Amino acid sequence: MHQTSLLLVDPENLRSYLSQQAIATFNVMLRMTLEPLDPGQPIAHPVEHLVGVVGFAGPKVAGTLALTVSPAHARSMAGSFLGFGPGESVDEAVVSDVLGEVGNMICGNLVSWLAKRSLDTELGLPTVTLSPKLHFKTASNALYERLCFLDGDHLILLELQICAKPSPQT
Amino acid sequence: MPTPKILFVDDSKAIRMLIANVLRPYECTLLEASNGLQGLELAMVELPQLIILDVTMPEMTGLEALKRIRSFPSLARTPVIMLTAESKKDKVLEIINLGISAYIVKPFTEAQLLDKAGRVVTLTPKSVVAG
Repeated sequence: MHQTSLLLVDPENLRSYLSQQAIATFNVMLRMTLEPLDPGQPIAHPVEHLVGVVGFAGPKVAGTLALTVSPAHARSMAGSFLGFGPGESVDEAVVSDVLGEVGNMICGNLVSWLAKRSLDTELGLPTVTLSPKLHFKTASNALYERLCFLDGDHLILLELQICAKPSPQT
Repeated sequence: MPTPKILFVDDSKAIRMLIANVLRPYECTLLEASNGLQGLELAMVELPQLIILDVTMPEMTGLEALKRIRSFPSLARTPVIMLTAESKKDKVLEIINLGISAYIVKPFTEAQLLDKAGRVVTLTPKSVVAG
């Protein structure tokens, strides 16, 4: 197995990098200021979630990044992304597209970060789904990170799972 | 002076809308495509003065589209700005070797896009022309 590959990733550095990327992406693309929440802090999840998922895979590791927000906040994100005023509505397809793109930007930079640690992967295309549940069930051999942020009253959840891939020799 | 034609190719409608919003205040003709193949076909017909090309797209990736663009004599020297979420060294080098004007890593600001585009084509604000 390539499980030793995951040893190349320091969880603390990874968490810090992901947090910085999320904050920077929301700030630059959406002009939104995210406030990180303490990982141990209990959070009230919205009833429904819009989840943007981006996968990445390479010879040693594969993973998934999921960005979860309420549908109302996704609409707000899309409006900010396009510079719309408060009264202007955004097409639902574009709302999903913006959430997928924001996830894609965070994941794209993560892929570059992993490549610098000899974990080369290719970025997949984002997908967005409406779900009543949170996205991940973690695998036993996976590295899992979960970051929570607040934008005003809105909760933003960023989850990352990285799994070691079986070695071709075994 | 003829207004420049700018072609932008991205599978994300949101990104295409964003780029259009940034460039619309300037004297230019905007053309858009949602994948590399469409972009290539449009570029061959319209011969734009600038192509803004996403890297990760379905049908035909931006990298493949760039290779094909460079293989056509009429497009071989067309300035291309690559737009991507990835900045892996090997991929950046491969793209640079194909001859591009700039490489913009997402997330990006409107000012970054205008700066890079403005180095390639003349972007005259519409109000200046009208006035």
